[in-house]
Amino acid sequence: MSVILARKIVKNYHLGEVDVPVLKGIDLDVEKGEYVALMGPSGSGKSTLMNILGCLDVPTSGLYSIEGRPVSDLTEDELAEVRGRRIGFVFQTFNLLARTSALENVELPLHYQGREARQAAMKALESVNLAHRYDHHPNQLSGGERQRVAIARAIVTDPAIILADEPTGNLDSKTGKEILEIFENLSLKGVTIVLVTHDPSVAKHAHRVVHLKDGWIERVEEVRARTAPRANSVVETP
Amino acid sequence: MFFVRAFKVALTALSANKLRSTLAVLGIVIGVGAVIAMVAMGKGAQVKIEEGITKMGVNMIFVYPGAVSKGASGAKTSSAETLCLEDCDAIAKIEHVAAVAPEVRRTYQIKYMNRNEAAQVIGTTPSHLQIRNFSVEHGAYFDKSAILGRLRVCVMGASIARKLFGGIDPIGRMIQIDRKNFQVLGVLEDKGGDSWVGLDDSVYVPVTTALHRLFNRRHLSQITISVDTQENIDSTMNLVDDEMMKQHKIKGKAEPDFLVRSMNEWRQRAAESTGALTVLLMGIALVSLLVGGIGIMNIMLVSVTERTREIGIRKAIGAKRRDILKQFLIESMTISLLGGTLGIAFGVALAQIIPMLPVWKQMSNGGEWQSVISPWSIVVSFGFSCFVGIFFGLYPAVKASRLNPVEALRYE
Repeated sequence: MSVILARKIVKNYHLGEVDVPVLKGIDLDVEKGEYVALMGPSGSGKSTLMNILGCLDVPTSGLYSIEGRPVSDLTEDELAEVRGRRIGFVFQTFNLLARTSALENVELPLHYQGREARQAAMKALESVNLAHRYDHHPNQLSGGERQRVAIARAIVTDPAIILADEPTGNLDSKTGKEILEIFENLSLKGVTIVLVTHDPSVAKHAHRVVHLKDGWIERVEEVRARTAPRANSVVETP
Repeated sequence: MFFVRAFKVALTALSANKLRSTLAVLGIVIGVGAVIAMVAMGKGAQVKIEEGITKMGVNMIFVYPGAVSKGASGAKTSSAETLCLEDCDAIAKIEHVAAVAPEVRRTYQIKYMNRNEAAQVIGTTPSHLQIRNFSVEHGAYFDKSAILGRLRVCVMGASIARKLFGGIDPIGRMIQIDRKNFQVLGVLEDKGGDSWVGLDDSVYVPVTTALHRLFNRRHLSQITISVDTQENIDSTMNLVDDEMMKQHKIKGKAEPDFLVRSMNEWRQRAAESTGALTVLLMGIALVSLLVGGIGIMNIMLVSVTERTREIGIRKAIGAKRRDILKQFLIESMTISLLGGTLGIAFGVALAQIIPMLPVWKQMSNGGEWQSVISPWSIVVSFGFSCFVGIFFGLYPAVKASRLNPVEALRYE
């Protein structure tokens, strides 16, 4: 079953009187456990597609469903629910809450679902090798460590997909590599990952690279075959 | 659990900008403090005035000359000449009347040697002593024979005696009232504090002397009656009214030419006006609380703008509108709750300090005007500050909750 199923996704932005088309009809399927990279020059619409895939935004037209559940016509709060439970975000700029410890940052998505979070959050931090830094605040952590906290926050809810937007863009190449390794490990454990990048060396870690241009999918490149997942999930739901 | 965590989040957010948060809290502290202190001062005035009235004696009924049209706000103690000594004698025979004293008043220059003081001269009878709850400190009061003989004798209030004689013993000495010599028989006890009633500043002479040898008139300024017990005041008032009607031969629908009032009515009037004063003071103070609320709204709006990105992050990881709304509402409520709590302490402290200030002592005539902290002012001001926190926090919180997550995340 496709985790992501997108058909004829169109997104227009209103700029004054005119509608500017950003996505002109995207069809995309992502299977469970797949690792997909979205590539394209700036202005190609990859961020917009990412926002729609992440339920942060809704398409102007077209069908989008996650795990078989159509989400293109959900209300704002229903979208928030989907984001909280089924999607994990990793951003280029980490987007951790300052003045909040690593552990509390990771706990937050579970808190919004009204769930007890401490144990699951510790486990998620362990899986990115940061358990020993749980009480550090973001400004006490290095860039790589911050991104690992962000990944822990993304996986703590055991989501259907992890959406990573240029996750190595703000890191030096060595730390970037470490982060990509974490994604690779998550992929091996069966987590579905969609990663946006403009860096071919990052994209080559994926199973499949989707090239976007001017709001269309230009071509799809199969990089390597999927290996069988080692485990079903990273974090068991408590 | 939820509230503990939410409160912690709010405190963390507020402590990120300590000066700004402190100023917002201060606005509420001053507002709540002002309400409590102002009401305490107003209540103090009320208590003070009631004390004064009680000191004057609570079982009193007054008869004033002249009529007052119904519904008028104040008693018109006009100089209409309708009351006379015969009325006193008639009233004295009424059941439950313990004592009756006529009063006739005028202000004169009082002279002793080369000293000169303006004082109220009150012509009355020895019953006055009993009715007004006075006792003679020194010497004696004039008796019935002085009244029958229209003698030129007087008894002095403590305050005027001090002013006129200084350290000298006034008993037996002669003072001049309207260039006529009067012998001082006694000095009354010092009632103190009632300067607005002026009893300590008055000179008392036999009523007949006052009428015939000083004022040259035949009519009284008022008749003061004391009733045996408080329960009988209302019934006695009616009897006095009836008796006066009979004495003055007023029948049917004719307007009476006198007015009967009880001390209770005076006390109620005083309570009404000081109550109005208290409400006015509280209203002014509530305005400052409102201004404090606007301060909260101001910093919350700034805070929402500054934390647009944080709101975006929270929404991206699953926060719903109501989660964001709650977060910001709890934050503004935290400000108002903190402000309210500190404001109670501030107001209570202020209510203690104000009566001690020299300026206030001067204003309140010797510093006996104390503040009385009323529990309901604490409840009202604290409740109002909570309301202010919610009311003025609502708009910024709604604004925050409606932010578009994509735009919020893009915000630099």
